[in-house]
Amino acid sequence: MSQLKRNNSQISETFVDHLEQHGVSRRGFLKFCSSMAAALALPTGSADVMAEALSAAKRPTVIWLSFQECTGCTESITRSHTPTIENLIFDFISLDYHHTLQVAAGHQAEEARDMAMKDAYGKYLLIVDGSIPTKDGGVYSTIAGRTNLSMLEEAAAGAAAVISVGTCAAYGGLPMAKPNPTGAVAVTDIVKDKPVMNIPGCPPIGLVMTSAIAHFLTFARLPDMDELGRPKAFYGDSIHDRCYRRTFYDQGLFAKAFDDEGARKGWCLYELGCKGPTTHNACATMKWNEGTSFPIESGHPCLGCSEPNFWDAGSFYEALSVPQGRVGETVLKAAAVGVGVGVAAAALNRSNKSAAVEGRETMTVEDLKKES
Amino acid sequence: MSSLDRIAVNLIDEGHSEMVRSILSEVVSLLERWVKKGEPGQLDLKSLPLSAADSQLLEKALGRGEVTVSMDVMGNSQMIETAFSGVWYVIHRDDQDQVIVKQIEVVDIPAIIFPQPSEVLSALGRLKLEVDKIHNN
Ligand code: SF4
Ligand code: SF4
Repeated sequence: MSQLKRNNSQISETFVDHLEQHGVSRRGFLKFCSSMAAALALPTGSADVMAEALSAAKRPTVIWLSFQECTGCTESITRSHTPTIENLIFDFISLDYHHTLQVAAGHQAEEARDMAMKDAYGKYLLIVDGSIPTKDGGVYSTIAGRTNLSMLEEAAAGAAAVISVGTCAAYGGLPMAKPNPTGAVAVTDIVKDKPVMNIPGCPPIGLVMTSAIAHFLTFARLPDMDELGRPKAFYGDSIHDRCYRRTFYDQGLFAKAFDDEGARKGWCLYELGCKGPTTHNACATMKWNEGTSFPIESGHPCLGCSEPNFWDAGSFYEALSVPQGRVGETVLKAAAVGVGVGVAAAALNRSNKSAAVEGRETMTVEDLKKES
Repeated sequence: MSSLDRIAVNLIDEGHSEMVRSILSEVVSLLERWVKKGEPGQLDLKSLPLSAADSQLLEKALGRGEVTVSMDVMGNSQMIETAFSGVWYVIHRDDQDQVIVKQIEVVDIPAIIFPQPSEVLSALGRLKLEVDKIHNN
């Protein structure tokens, strides 16, 4: 039997034993790694690299701070009652502080945070959901008598990297909507000297959060990001470019009312206010509610929840004023090009290894390792 | 199976896009690479905006081969050989039956199926114990 076929065999035995004690077999673990690698659009063979790296990784300390938020983001990541394969990520991290999920409360909880920060100073991953109020000294949101602002400043100082989960932490979100009574700001308005990744969405998709964490654990760095700090693997394409109704848009077939014939036939929702053309998110393909559907599939236009200021961007039901080109800049164009290696890869190029794909070269696991 | 599956969904005919043709071209390239260089390949279907009509067209084009491997590990997984040797559908579901990976793999047999040498070694030990137990009874 060739070595090639067995290349998943280097996963550390002790780690597999550890997982097995928790009811997860090696194949289950590989399945988890496959789903992470596929979600991150990593090249062939990456699932094995990820398996190897995760099995050797020391569980890093993760501190999760929640500020002005609705807990929707935590709900999204822990959304199921039974543990799903995505939740396996919790086996690879040491979640030392999360005030909604932890058992400890009051002084005990705050002590746990202080201790975790001290023990892993400079190395821990800081996750934040919710925006930070800054008006009147930040008094509009406090935890254990401390403002969110001072807590964030202190925790960010010792973090290796920061992940802003949800549109509130990433861009200010709902609390920042006009007239922004609390002077809410985004994490990046406060934290300037650490790598920060934004995972916006109201809420973001659970798998996007877990995959980004898995990437950090595997390659010891955050994934490639766009100019708004979002991982390109998930936010590289617009909803419009991934929308199954796109064929109707291209044919000029639009629903004009929620109950007209066009709506019943599943035509494009552009004229009903769809913000898909200007919104970058993964929900069109990853979907919600156990992969059931996403808003457009349920007949509602996209609100643009993963973009900055989406609350203040005019009516949700008014058509975008900017006319969109007939053919989008990414997926379908790539698909229409026709033949050859890299065509579907370009369509799949959510990780946007653009140089490699434009040159029609194949990105390899070795390239990825080199980059990290 | 989640209760969401009980909600009736009325599928409309969305027509099909150019995507299927591109995917098939890509599969040809991947298979060529496997044949010439022995490099396995894969193509993620879950991230592509395939309509129901697209998926049907793709399934029809690739057809069904003789082998289907079913694996029950943290939810069901299926490795389905297409009508073209070396081209597999790999579908992983989680324990709530949600599809978490749907991809085409181009390789003789998907690697996840093979046991590790250490597992086989440990199996040998366990099997011997089992046989001993039977002998001793
Ligand atoms: S405008 Fe909206 S509904 Fe229409 S194709 Fe674009 S994303 Fe889909
Ligand atoms: S369809 Fe638009 S508003 Fe709805 S979840 Fe997706 S990105 Fe957010």
